[in-house]
Amino acid sequence: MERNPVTVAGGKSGDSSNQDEKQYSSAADYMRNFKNIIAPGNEASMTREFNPQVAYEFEKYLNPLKLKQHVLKSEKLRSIIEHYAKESGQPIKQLERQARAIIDEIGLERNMAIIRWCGIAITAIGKRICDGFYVNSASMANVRKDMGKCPVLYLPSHRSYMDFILMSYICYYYDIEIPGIAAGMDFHSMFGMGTMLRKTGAFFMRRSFSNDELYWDIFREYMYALVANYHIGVEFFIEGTRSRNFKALVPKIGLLSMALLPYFTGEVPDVMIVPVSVAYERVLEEQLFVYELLGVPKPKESTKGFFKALKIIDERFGKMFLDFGEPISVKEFFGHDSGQRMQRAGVGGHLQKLNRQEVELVKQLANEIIYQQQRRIVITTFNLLSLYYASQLYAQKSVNIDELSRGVLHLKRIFEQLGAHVSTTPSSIKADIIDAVEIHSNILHFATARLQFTPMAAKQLAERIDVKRMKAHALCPQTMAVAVPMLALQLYINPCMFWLARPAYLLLAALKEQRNQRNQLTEDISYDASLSALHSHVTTMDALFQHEFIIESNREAAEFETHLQLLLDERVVEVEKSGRIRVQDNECSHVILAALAPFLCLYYQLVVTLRKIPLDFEFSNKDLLVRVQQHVEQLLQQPGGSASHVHPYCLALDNLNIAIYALIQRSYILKCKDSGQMKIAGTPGKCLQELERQLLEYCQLMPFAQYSTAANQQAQFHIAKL
Amino acid sequence: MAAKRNAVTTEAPESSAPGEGTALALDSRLSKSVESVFPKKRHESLKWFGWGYNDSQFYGKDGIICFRGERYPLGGCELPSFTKWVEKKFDLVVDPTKPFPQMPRTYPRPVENEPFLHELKGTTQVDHSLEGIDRLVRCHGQTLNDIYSLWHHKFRRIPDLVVWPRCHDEVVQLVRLAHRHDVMLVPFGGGTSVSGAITCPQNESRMICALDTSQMNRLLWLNRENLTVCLESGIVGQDLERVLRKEGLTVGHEPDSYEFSTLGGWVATRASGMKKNVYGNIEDLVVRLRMVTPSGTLERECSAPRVSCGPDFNHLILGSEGTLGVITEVVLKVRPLPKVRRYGSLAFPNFEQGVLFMREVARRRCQPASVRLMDNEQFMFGQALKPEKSFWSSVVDGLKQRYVTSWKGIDLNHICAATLLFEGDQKDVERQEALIYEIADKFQGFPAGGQNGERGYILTFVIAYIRDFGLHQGIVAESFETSVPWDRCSLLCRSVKQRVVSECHKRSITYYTISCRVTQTYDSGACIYFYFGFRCTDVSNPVELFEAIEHSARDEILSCGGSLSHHHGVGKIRSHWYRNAVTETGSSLYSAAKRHLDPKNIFALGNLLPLEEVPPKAEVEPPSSSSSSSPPKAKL
Repeated sequence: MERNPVTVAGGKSGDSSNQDEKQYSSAADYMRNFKNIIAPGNEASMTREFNPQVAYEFEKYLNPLKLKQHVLKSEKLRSIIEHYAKESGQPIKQLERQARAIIDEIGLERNMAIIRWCGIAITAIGKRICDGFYVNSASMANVRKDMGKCPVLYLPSHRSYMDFILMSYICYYYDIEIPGIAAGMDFHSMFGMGTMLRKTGAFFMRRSFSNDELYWDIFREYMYALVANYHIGVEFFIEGTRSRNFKALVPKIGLLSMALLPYFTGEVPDVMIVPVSVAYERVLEEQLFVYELLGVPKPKESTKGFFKALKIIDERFGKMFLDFGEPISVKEFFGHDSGQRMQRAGVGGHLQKLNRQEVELVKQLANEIIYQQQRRIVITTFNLLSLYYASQLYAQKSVNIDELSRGVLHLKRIFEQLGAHVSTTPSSIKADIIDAVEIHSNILHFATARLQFTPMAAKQLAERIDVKRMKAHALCPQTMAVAVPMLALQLYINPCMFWLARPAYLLLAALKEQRNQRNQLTEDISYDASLSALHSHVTTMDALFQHEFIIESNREAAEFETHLQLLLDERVVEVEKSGRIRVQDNECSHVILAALAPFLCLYYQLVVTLRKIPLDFEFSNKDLLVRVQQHVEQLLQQPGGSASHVHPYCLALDNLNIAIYALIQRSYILKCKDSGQMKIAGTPGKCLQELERQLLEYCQLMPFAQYSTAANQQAQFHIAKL
Repeated sequence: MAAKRNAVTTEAPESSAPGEGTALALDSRLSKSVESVFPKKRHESLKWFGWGYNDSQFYGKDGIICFRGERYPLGGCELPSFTKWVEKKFDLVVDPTKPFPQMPRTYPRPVENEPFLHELKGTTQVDHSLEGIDRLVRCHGQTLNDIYSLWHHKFRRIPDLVVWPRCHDEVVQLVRLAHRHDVMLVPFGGGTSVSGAITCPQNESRMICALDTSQMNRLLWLNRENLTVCLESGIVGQDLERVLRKEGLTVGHEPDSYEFSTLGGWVATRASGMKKNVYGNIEDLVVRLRMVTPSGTLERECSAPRVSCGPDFNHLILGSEGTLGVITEVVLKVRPLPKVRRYGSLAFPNFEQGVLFMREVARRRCQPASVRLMDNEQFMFGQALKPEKSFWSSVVDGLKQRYVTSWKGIDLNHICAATLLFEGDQKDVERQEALIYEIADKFQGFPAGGQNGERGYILTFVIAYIRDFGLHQGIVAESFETSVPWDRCSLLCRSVKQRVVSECHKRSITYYTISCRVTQTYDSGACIYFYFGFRCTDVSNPVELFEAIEHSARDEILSCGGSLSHHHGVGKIRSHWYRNAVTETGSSLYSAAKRHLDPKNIFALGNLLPLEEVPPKAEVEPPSSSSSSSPPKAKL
């Protein structure tokens, strides 16, 4: 399979879509395209006639009911029902009834009145709790102009339930047909909510672990028809679920494969994919996520919960940023011409499914979509502030607003050099910072002109969590008091990881290489040899963290150049002609390493915990999580937070699960497919000890050792007061 | 020379075969396994020594010819008038004591290509057999020569190995293997060939492997919107129709052999069905074909109904008679089942009038699903095949005969009949009938009842059994066919019959029958079927004699403007004329294609062009084990 065109372009210029940005002379100009669509005077009229641009133009349009009938009457469904009738011995009539019930459960509807009422409510609530919905009007226009020729898939990043509310709202605002949205069944069961969502264009999907084959066949067929025979476009979340830690998840290709099947079978000419990047200054579910990460289970979506959530209208959530990426033509991305497609077009679409090669193609595409989402997620002042604050915190320093302003502006420059869109305005930096801190007053606040963690409310700490519902180890209040604010802070650092993960690898590589050179571990030093050594360290870390940071896009070579240039410019790294590498400890290096530090700690502590488990001992995933959390809690409770290489983030279950998965993938852990039980691999090749040594070495290369000293002191002081 | 890029992988049902290409995947749940009426060991249900089912045959009892076999309408009937007809025609009294041939106790020793067998067992999961009986029943078709050779244990070379691939991908493996190890392959479907096409070449020195397609008989998919169906080539005609009928559909392809012959065979021989007027011949029914050759899989990528895209390679596959590769999958058109099916018959004072009628029907393009015209000899033969009647129906028949002869003034020695089959909606059928009877009237034809027509069609399948009974009793009989332009139709029928008669006389054959019928009509001509048989009790080499006379009949056909074959194919027995029929240029074009697709000539069947004329094998060292110059003749 030849590599896709994007890859080739990526090799040359670092990013093919840079071209579309050349018109923006600077990053600031790009940010000027963002328009607050709920600013007074900008609001959409919810009573105007709605004549939207449809995603895919037809001569004759189906309506939601006809779409369902189309699916029910399809050749595919007919043959599949016959198949099940034969297999299960059930009468066809009965299966047809089942099919009808299933399609009614799935199918979307459309009611303009409800859409308008929702619009009015969103405008009102948005105005109250937000400082604006900022939408990149230029990119909206860019997407809109190409619409109509083929089905459109809108694939937003997923951090909050607000994502799809915003998407529909914005489509209405810009006169784009509101797409069909794949929604989880938990909404379906919410009283009133399910119907409302359905009437605004949601279609419902059961959880993937439900294994009703007939259901999935019907769902697939519905998706197929929605893409191939319907005009509104489809929206779903490629990450599958809201990312609890605000960084991209490994893309799920199930829905994407279903939606692309009509393309592969040749029943649509092309598919246009619109990556959508949504950024929140403050995510509505933030606190919920922090608790979930620590193991307090997610409440089931219920209408009661929804109303309870309405109390958020007393809070402030700052700005929301939404940007449409450059549309991806699937055909171009795959580099297909008629030669590849005519074979499939020769056979009825309903008879086909994807083959292995095509699934691989879809995976590549999914990675590209995640990449495009990520690079347009607006980095807010609070993201930079959190990162800067953490870097100071880990170095046991405190900061005032002047230091913060300087630091944040410095970071803004760094991020813009890397290609990010940053919302901070230098002219009003202090006001921005004060505003950001105020919005996140539940995490940080200024005390005696110094930035500090906000202690948790006594009530919140005292609230007894039902231990039985804990996903892993029941953490004690002291731990919670340290972990909750620090995790919340980390969540806002995480969006930066897309930009900083690889620079951090490179910096660590330079540190390691510097040490090697000093200890004369590296023999003949030369410029080329040093560079390739750096390269190979970066690749090693890339492999270790590949499930943690979804940054794979075949642009590695170009990124390496960019990142090295950044480190050279910032005088962090110096590579002499002779090949000797020197690393300077400065603000930039601190920031970059501070970003990666919690993750290194987490992987390191996981491996330390694993190493304590005897070789032949079998354990479940939960057992392991409990062990890690116990181990980390114990370290965190050492007097004065003196334990090294431990960060409260090591308690984060989602990340632990990712790390465990990575270790399974790399055969450090053996997992039994049937029972799910795990065991430590005893093979000599994959030695945990070696991995532990490696991770420890990286941890020791960090300019930090203790991460939670300040938070710990503050928490103890606070608890003592209670 | 691996098979190149390929659109669809059709995996084995248990998906055990490795895919040849993964470009396209089909939802295997939508394919249907078809349970064949025939077991894998075909001789358990089919005669090893002749036509049809083990349990169906003509036999003599108390001097009367009877038929056994509940599958057919004649089942369990005594046939006194047929007995009389035979006595009169051949001066032959039925002798039930004559022995039937015995299964041989030994079989020709197989030529074994060890590396091939080793790899077959090691790298594939293709089922295979080296058993004598499996090999014997797949060494031949249904020509008179084949059956006679079987009865007299004359085969020197029979397949050395039988393999049963289960899907396209397994065929690809097999062809690749055979090509690598220089093993000859004989694609074997229903075994009903009447051209000698699947008869093992008796001088082949390499290992011969019969590739039995019977286990490749899935319905891979059905597309109701396009009314197309994709089937594996090994599906037997009756299985195919049964499965489709359940879906309310039909392909409508009914060659007389359709109980036993397979889809792949139809394609390989350019078969024609009784109802081609409505449904078309096989080349009209085929949308797409896949053929596995040693140099790759040949197929058209597109399912469009008609394409202008250079020479149509489907037509290279159609009629390739197993010499270019193995046909594995076929996409056919299907039609909704007709609501009404009605039979009819017409009587004409003589054959010439009948032909004029047929010509007129063709001119006006108002053919019903089937219309066939029998000459007097066949008409009488058909009448004789009626089972013993009840008193009342014989009275009615007598009255009918009286009516025909006295009222219409028709001579029973010249009368001939046409049988009619109408299919379609009630109204269409009525309209068709009215028109046909109106045309018939112009040519002094008159309706002779639906029953006669129906019997004519139903007997079609029974008549095939008579050949073996005749052979058993000392009559060699066989049919041969041709197609001819209208202007030479009557001439051809007359001349060929005369030629046969004079050839018989020349050879002092006194007891014989020669008859003909027009079985298909086209815009520009018709298909003619001849039945020829003679008593051979006092002849030492009856088959040779028969073939010599058939040979001169074919010469006569060709000189009257008839074709080499309308639908039986060229095979080995007509390869003599192929070069003339397609010109020198044409035959070298075929040879070049053959050389390209099958450079080692592993499909060395010797059809179309006689074997020695096929270019010599590419310079490949034959495997040492098969180099033993001539296979040992088995003592039978």
